[in-house]
Amino acid sequence: MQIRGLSLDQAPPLAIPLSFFGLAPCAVGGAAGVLLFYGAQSLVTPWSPVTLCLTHLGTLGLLTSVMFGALYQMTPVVAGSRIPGVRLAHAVHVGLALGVLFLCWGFARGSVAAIYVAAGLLAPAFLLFLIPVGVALARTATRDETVLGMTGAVTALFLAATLGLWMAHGFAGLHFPGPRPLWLRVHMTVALLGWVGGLITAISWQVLPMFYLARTVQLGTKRAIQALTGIGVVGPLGVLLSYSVEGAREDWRSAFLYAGLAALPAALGVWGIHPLVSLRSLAGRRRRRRDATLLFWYAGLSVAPGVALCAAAAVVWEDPRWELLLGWLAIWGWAGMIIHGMLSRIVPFLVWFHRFAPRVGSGPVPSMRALLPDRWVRQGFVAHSVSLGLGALAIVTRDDTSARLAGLALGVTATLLARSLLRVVRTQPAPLDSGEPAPG
Amino acid sequence: MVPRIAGEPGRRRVELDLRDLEAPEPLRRILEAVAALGPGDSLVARTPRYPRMLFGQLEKRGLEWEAREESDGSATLSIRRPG
Repeated sequence: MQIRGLSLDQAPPLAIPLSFFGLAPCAVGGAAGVLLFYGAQSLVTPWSPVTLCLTHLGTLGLLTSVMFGALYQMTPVVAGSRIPGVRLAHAVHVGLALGVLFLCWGFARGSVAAIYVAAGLLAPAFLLFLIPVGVALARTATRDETVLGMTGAVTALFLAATLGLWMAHGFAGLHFPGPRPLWLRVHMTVALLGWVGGLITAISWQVLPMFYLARTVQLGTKRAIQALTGIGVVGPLGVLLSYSVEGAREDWRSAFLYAGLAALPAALGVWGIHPLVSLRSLAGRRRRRRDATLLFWYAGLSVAPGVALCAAAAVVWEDPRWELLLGWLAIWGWAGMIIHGMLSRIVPFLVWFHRFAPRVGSGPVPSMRALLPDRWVRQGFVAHSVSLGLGALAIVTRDDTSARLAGLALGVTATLLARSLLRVVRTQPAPLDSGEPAPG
Repeated sequence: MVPRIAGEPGRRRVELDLRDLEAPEPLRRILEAVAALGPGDSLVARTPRYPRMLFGQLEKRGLEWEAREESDGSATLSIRRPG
């Protein structure tokens, strides 16, 4: 690619990604509150309303919020394509935040009205996100594997959101469209593997070489992971569709088994091959600087094969703890750890880029470590790891104290994350004759 | 990463190899180096990735630039301060 003097400064205003990233500690804090209030009751079966509340605080409140912010930032910068009407992101932000709030309130308190309100907020928020970002991705001339992965992830989000909103009608008292367990599991597969997995893999191919000088992953391997993910997302949807078209049968469990088997390629790609090649590429870093944000990547990637094993066990055995463990490890372990690590690296980078890069050459500029000290990141990692371990222990033992302690540790994680983000966001350049960055 | 400087003032050419630096160091080093360029001087930098986020900063500084992505994913960037 050769570009001469063409303006490509298409990055969105800093406030847009930051507003989405700011929802992350709120969602983690909300999940902490659920665990503290309900204890082991929130970890008995994956499909109880309280557990669904906990799950969606993780999937929508934490993961989707951060991933929306990341896509608003990355689509213009990586794909080189401007998002039309990018300021609509503020409406998406409000719709997503309030939608998650009402959805979780509706689940936790059994309020049908709240779930209706949530669906009415989330549906337009998703559309206002999907249409402009989809248009920008469709228009781009860049067709590398990261852009392909972003496009696939956005498509999976559309499918997962459609299934989710459709199911919301079932939870809100209307006729449920088919066997609920099958719909729930296909929704979870498309959301976790297609949307979250698709985007994490695509972004890792940009972020790991850029911020950690990790070795570039072979193109063939990237393509194989993406092909497996695509097959493993379309397969379960096909099972759901064929089951729905042929009419309700007594034995939905056979369809559940087929859907699980159909998802295997995606699980292999996202939770098996991707972590392996990413850890190998990190092992071959060209410059081995100590960096606390890497701890999150190592932890998240190491947990991923465990998620795959729990998924396989959940298909074979009926003990609900396998599915609970799958959800817990996937949301707060694999994806949650990686997202927490990315926030700790990307937020200082964006603040540095927007506020300090224009000053380079005309006065002293702080390093990224000065914006967010490694020690703070390490403290967040410890709290997050403790909460992950305690939550897994609470699921396996059904112990109420462990569940509430996991909630406490998640609360500490949320507080530390909020403290770190606030410190970075409040750092402003000092007047040019002073030289030191001024917090707040 | 030590800059190589050659040529006479007004036609100086600075060379930087920044491929072993993680973000945002390549961006910072390039912006520091271009601040010292006089009219007619130029800078050639090898960066670990295609430096898309840098272009707007160069434009705001009134610099002419040209970027080429290499087969290994790195990039070669030529910058010139108009003389």
